[in-house]
Amino acid sequence: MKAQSLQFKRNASDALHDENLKLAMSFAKTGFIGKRAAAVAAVPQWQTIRDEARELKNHVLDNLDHYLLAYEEAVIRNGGTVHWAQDGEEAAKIIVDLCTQANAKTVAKGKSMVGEEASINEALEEAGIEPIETDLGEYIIQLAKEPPSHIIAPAVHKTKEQVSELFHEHHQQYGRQEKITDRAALVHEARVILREKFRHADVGITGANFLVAETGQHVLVTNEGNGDLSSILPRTQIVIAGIEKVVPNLNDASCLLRMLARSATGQHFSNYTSVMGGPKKAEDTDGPDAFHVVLVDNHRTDMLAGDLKEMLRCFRCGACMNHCPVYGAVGGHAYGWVYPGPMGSVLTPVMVGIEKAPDLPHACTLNGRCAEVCPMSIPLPSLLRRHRQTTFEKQLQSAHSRYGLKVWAFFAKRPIVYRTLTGLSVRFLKLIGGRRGYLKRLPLAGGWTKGRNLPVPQHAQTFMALYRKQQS
Amino acid sequence: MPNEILVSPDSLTQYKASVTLVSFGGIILSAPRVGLFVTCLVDLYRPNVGFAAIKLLEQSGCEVIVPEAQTCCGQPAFNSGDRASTQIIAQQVIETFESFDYVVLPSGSCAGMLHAHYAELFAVDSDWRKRAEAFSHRCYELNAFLVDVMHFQPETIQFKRKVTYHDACSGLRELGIEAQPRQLLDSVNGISLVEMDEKEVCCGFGGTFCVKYPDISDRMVGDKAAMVVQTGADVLLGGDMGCLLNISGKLSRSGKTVRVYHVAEVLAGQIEDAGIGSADGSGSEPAIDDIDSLPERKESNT
Amino acid sequence: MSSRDAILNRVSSALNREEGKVQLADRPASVTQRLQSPEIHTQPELPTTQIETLIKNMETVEMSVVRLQSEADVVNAVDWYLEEHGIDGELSVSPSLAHLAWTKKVHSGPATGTEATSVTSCFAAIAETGSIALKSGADTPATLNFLPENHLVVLKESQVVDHLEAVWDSMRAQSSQPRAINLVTGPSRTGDIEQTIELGAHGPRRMHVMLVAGE
Repeated sequence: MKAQSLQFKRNASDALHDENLKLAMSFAKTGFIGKRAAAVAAVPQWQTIRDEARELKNHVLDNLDHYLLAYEEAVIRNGGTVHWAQDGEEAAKIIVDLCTQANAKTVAKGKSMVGEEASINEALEEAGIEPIETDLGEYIIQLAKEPPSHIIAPAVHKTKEQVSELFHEHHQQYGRQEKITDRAALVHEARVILREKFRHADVGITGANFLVAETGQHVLVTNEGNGDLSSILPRTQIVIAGIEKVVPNLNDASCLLRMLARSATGQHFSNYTSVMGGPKKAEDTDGPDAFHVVLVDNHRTDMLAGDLKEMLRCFRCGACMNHCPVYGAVGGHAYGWVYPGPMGSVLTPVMVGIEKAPDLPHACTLNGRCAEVCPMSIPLPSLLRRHRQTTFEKQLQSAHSRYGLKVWAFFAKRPIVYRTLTGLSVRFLKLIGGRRGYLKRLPLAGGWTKGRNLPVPQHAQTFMALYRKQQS
Repeated sequence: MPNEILVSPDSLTQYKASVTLVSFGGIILSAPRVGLFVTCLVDLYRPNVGFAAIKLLEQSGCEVIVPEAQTCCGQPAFNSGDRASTQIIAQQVIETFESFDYVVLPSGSCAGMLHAHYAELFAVDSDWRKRAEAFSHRCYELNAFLVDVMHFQPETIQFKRKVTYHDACSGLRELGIEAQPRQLLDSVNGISLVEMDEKEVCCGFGGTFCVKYPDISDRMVGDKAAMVVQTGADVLLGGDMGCLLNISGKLSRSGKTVRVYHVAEVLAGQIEDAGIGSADGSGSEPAIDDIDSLPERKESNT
Repeated sequence: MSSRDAILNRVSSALNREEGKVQLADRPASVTQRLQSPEIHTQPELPTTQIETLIKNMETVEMSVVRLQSEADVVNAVDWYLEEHGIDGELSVSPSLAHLAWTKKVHSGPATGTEATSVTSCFAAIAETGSIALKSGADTPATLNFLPENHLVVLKESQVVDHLEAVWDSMRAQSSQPRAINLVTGPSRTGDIEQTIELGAHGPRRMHVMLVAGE
């Protein structure tokens, strides 16, 4: 997917005027936040588990090369093959080659965010292979030809009516003429159609929540069971995962699993948590014949080397975006690439280049709620500030805001001049708006006064001037 | 009455040199010297908050000094990525205020800047890092200082209003300020506090954010103003001028007559003035054309 | 240089390894320790007894639970469940249960894809999460856990464990590890349309646990 993050402001402005989006996001807000809070409150040891998870991931990151080697060794022991991709493009090429070697016509896909990084679907289509998204949300947006707008609820921006329209349009080819609007009936229709697709898929591609170095297995979490069907039914199974997904052992995975579902959806545990690895054994009567893992770097090693290392603890639960008021207002598409919300505003500038996403680190009030709910204790606002420093050093912000900052800093560093300026400012504002107490319009503050009034100062003098007078 | 057990600062000057604050069994034995950093928004927009802060600090037993050389805490530069300017401003603030026992700010976000971020501006092991660390520990938000350090109870004040309280995000999350202003308000006679829904959600001010992304900020403050109105409160209180300017601007544009004050104004009994963003004390004039611009509150459907 | 080596080099240099890219043989003791002797992290305490917690957690995720005196009651319990819910159609059972005195025609083996219902044994159940742990293998094919609309599970009380880690421990104790362990916690569900939960997304719409007393 080509990054559209340069257009953040325009995307956001369009999003703010989208009534369907507003309605869809209101469902998300009421659902995710309350359920997560209840699920977390039900575990008195939450903070202890959270601290252990942070330490665990820090240990992994400090020994990442050792654990990757251990994982690779174990996968080979299980009869699987490990492939390494330095970026998304290489990952897509490896996958297309594997599918071609398997003579694949159709591929059943479980939701994978690193797969989105690598634009696997586009690459498969170009090679004449049909990718079928099997997660209902991913399926919906595949029909709509849209990218996901949330990392765990990709179609969170769609209303039921929009889904109904999409199904009606695309399912007529399967002889389904009647337009259905009932939610359960929509889910059932997708089930029936996708079940056929599963049966005929030659290759299954899924992501992985964790790669277990101890056993060479991966842990895959879904609620629908689509990841398991994608893994068991096709002849060839391919897993794509970022290199930071490796954990030492299954007990370590358990520590993280205790936080994953609770943080993501507010469930105490997801419906399907599967630990899988390798092709089917000699005695097995089902399972894939071939098993491949594609390990993707795509700038993760850049983060490991720099001051954004803590971001590599992220295990993609989506809690940060669920609690982000900016995400709640503009939705995921405004961010313009694979990852939206606070975690996306940290990752996207690294993965697509900060020159292509200079707005993202700034489109945040630094209110800190994301870091508060992050189960991996990632200091997201601090990481965004580090990006902001880069945009400042590279002069990537608008000339308008750079100039404004320069003028402000000039005065803030000079208390005496500052006093004179503030004295004049309050006198001016009081003069033009003092009668009402607020201004409805002010040149240079048009953004503010478009939707709200600008309060005018209480007095025609600053506090410092009044205080000086009172003291003398 | 806590004020009655305070020992006069004059009689205890001999302790001052070495002791920051000695409290014994709730009795404060020495008057701490507090440097008041009024913050740029109070300086410009709401001098009353500065005077109220002085009054409260003095009532609690502090000696209050307002250094002339203060400007801003540096947040606009810090949050825009201009580290060099932030360092210069931080050094200036440290030099201006480090001789005081405490530095108190009537703002959670500015106090958070001094308390949580100054040290990280300077290289580890540098002299400025050490100075910044020693300094940061003594920087407090007003409500937190009054409650946690001074164990202050406000003098008897009447305020027969139904109020709601907006927690500013920096104060809430960087400094953990939530209980303190409520505890102080609890001792105000006649006041009734109604908490708003989603009270932990940001109002959309965000410093430079509201200038850079005014449309998103406006949507957020619209949601926040709707929550304020929904409580039925006739007064909104808060501890940060940024949020209060933002929310009051939205309320007045929408023709809502909720009055907005900084919590210090109420606690100090200095509420004879008009609310923030209004001129006559009767609330703001409705702007008829905008009266319906507040979003409708959606019923939650969980 | 291969991409593998390039990535490993970058990792090692990001971590300031003096010796450059690491080899398997360089593994430090702290890593070996974690790989060979996994420690147990903090586990949430069970609010009540093991079985009570299990049943409560299962019911929270729409699994129904019935308690049976012995394995001999399983066939009756299955017949009763199918009748109660008006479920017709083919019945597949895992080979591990083929020896029971089924009153209906059953298929034993991996899922055919046309059955309405499967009855399977399981490997364990986890009280902490309310999950059934199912191990892939010739006796217990994994397709039976996912393809049918109705999944009925035979669980012995002795198979119930407190926490996830106990399942991994018993797997480690086995001579060869299975291709897959599926922890199933309720019928398949999706919240992808307006964040409202619907059951039966891809996997079973109904899950029923027959908890058999004793060993």
